[in-house]
Amino acid sequence: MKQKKKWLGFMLAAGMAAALSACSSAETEETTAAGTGAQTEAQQEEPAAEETSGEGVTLSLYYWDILFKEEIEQLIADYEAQNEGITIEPTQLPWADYWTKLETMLATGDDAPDIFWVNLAHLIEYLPAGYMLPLNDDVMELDKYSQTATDLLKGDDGSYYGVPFLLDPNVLIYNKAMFDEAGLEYPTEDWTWDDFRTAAAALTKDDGSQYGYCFRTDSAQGSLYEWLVSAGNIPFDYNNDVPQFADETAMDGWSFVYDLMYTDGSTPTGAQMTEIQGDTYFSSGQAAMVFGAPPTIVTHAEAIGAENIGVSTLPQGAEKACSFSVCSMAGYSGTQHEEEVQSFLKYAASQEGMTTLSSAGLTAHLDCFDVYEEGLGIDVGAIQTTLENYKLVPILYSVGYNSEFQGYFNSCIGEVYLTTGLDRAGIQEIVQGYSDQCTALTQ
Amino acid sequence: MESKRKKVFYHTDNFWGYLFVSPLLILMLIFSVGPIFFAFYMSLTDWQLSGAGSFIGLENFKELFADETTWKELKNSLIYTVFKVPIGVAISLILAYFLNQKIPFRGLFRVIYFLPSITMTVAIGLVWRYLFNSQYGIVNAILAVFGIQGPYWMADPKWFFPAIILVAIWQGIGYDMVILLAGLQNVPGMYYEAAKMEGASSFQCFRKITVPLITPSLFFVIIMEFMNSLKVFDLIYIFINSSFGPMENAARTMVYGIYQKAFVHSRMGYASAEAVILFVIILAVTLVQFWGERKWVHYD
Amino acid sequence: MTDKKRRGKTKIQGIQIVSFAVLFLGLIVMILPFLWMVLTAFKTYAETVQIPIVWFPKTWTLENFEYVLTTMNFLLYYKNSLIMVVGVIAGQLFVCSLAGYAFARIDFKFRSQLFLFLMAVLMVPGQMTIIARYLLIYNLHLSDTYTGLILPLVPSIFGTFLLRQFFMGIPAELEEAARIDGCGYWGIYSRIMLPLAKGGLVTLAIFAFNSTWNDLMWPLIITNTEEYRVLAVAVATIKGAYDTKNNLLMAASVMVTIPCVLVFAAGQKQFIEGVASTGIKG
Repeated sequence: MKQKKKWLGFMLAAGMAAALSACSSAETEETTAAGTGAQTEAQQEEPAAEETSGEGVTLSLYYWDILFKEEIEQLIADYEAQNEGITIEPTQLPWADYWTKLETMLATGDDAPDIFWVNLAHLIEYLPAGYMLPLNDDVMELDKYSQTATDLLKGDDGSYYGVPFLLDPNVLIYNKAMFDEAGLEYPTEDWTWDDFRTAAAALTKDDGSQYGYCFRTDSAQGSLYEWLVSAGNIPFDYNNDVPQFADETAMDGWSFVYDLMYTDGSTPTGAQMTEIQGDTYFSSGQAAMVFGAPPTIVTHAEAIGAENIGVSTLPQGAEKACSFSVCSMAGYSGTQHEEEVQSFLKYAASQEGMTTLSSAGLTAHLDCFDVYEEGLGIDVGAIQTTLENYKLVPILYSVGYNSEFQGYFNSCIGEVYLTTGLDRAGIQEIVQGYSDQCTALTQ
Repeated sequence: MESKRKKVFYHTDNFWGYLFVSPLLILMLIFSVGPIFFAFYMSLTDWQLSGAGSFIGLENFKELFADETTWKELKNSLIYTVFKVPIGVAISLILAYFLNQKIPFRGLFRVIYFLPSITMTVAIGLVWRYLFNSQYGIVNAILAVFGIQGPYWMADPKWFFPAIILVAIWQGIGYDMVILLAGLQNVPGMYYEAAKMEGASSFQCFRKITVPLITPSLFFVIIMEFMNSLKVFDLIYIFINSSFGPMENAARTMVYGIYQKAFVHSRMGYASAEAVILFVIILAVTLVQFWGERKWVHYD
Repeated sequence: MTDKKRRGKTKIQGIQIVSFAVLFLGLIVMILPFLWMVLTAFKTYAETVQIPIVWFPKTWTLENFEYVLTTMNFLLYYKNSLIMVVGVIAGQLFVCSLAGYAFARIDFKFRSQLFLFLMAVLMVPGQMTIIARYLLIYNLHLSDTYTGLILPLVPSIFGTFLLRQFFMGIPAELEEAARIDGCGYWGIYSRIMLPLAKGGLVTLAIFAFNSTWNDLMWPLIITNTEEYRVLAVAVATIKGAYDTKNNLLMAASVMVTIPCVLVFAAGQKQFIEGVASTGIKG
């Protein structure tokens, strides 16, 4: 008897609480239904009604870059005007949390975006997970696209899995005013490492107020990675999971930069560039040269004035080579509206679509370069040269299994350039150590 | 409490207790308990990115214990906690006491001391990074006055983590201070007056009256500090994010590791396993504190 | 007697001077990052990337605010954040004060076990439960709703624990007296305990405001459309993949942070030494 009463009391309490909490939430819930019971029901019906109304199809699109906001909206507006009944809802997400959000949605399925931006590193992860929609053959006119980019988006089955709208090869960005002041010729497209080194030394001031060169000490674009690539090295063989950044060719790159830093003093020291992100020296007008992907040209230009910005190809080492990254627009394999997704991607991949996007960034569509250059207002012919004549090596993959390699590589850069007084053998020892750790990881 | 007679159920403590707790309990059961059990279950699977993982028993835990970065993360989390909690709480307590005095601009002082806890973490990371700069930073400038050559705080793995802990203490003061300040409102002014009549010094007042009477708030602050310190992520992430390689290894904590495993390495199951370990540690620490509660916390 | 009293008084002034001096000295350190945030909102991009750091803008510009306001629908975000924050505060004050009071003062079965069980919820890092929580919300059809934004944040263990501590600090005699006068638990809770725990309630409201207002992950995960976007998410979208324009980011941050400052400034007025207790004496 006593037990029963207790139980009843608990139930009662629970009921009351449910009513209370429903009330308190209804107070703040102005837009949805007013009643307590009706509230949940109404919400259950809402999405269902939308699906079946037959009014048309709504596709969701995720992207991260605020700089593309206008262009994406334009692209969608143009597409919607041509395709009655299809609505596309773009959501711009914060870059830092983009993948967390996207992966949550993909993992749960139902609410995942129909179309989303994806970079190469993530695309490689999502492919085996089965998230990527193979594009119809007619989506991209392949001969209009940079083959280096499209090849990377090709699955084992021969289908393409993304429309490469952004292609970022690495280039040399320099401060014209500093070259003028030092009475030096601007960098040319046939510069070698030695030309670079001589100029960097000449551009360095003894009082530490100006350096010839600065670089990012992480493994993002524009970092030390470029020198390894330029030395003819491919730091990671991702096909076989083999680290190669301790190879003899790579050592040329490691030690060349080490000499720039500690022998010539024409870059800030490793410690300085850890305290303050390396490429900031360029934006603050304290370094004459930096490497970077095309989007950084815009920000550097805003910092030191577009009239002071010059762009050239990377100096040539053992090879004409540089790193690049590619972002694509892709479809979700679980979409309810595959036909519409394909049709939108096809529009985006068309010359018309890519022209819209090109005013915000360099697309992989070969006929849109002029639009991009015009939008930029800076002579970036060097990018064209790079795309045509350089060996392009993908940047380090920063996701999944591969991110562990990246971790070791980053640590390696840090340790080498924070340690003073090393010779080539000393550098080799450190680098070899990290390379061995990577090898251990793959076994 | 009163003489125990048979009571109708709705007069019992049990009824009212559960009635009052039920809104919390029900919402909790709906929104939190399920996902937590789910996370626990995940720790026993090899769930990666794509939907279902398969059950692999304790494999994740074995791998975790064999991995030296796990131990590094555990060690860092503990070091962080051991320094941050006592120092942070002590400073907050003193500041709360000061901010409770009748002094000019008291309201303004309170607002300013609370500012660090509402300033964007990004701004905090950026400015402190600059303050710690070896060439231009104020920290080394002050050390130089005392003839000390300051280190490269942000570029030396040895000093990077201690610097973050310093910033964490600085940032956390505001929160703890507010709770303690609110706790001080329960200290009747007449106690002080009585003590002053007796000729007690301010320090004696603080030690003999203030501290014992706000032990409930202090207990709360300490428990929460332990929990949040063991779970620290935001500040670590901000500092590591703008650094590289060796700094990352020097400062990685458990939740940083969990985040990385889950959302960078895409290994949900493995990350969950580390979360379970962290859970057990926090649980142990908290249980010990609740066990000690009656020894030093004075209610009423 | 008078002598002692006077001596007491001078000592009081002593502690006041010490307090003022210490607090004054600490000011700069506490305010610097906030100050930088505000000042940077008025700088040009070029000034944000200088080495050494530039504190004061050469020419104050409003362009950053203009950009943020024109590219983003801040009015809508303010509205959403406000709805969310009001809902969460109201919900937490109600739910947590009830539960906090029960845990502090009602002697029900399994009280401490239940309390520890609830505390355990706080011990699991949020990163681990985010996917499952999203799934849940989705299946309850609460994604992209205000209910979904608010309701899961209402059952706060932090708040319950905080208020439990406050209720426990209130003298038991008051409760006993009310009970003798025939007051039930509800009466004691609503008429005696709540007014006495004002400090705790204000603290909880301040914290609920700040944590909800600045919460990024939860609103980001459970909302997809612009219609339900909140301030914290909007600000985060300014950060770029390559470079972040800190002048823009800080302009947006300032607009998000100012309400937090105002709420705290208003709230802290409630913390007045001794008033709560002396007021109810008798």
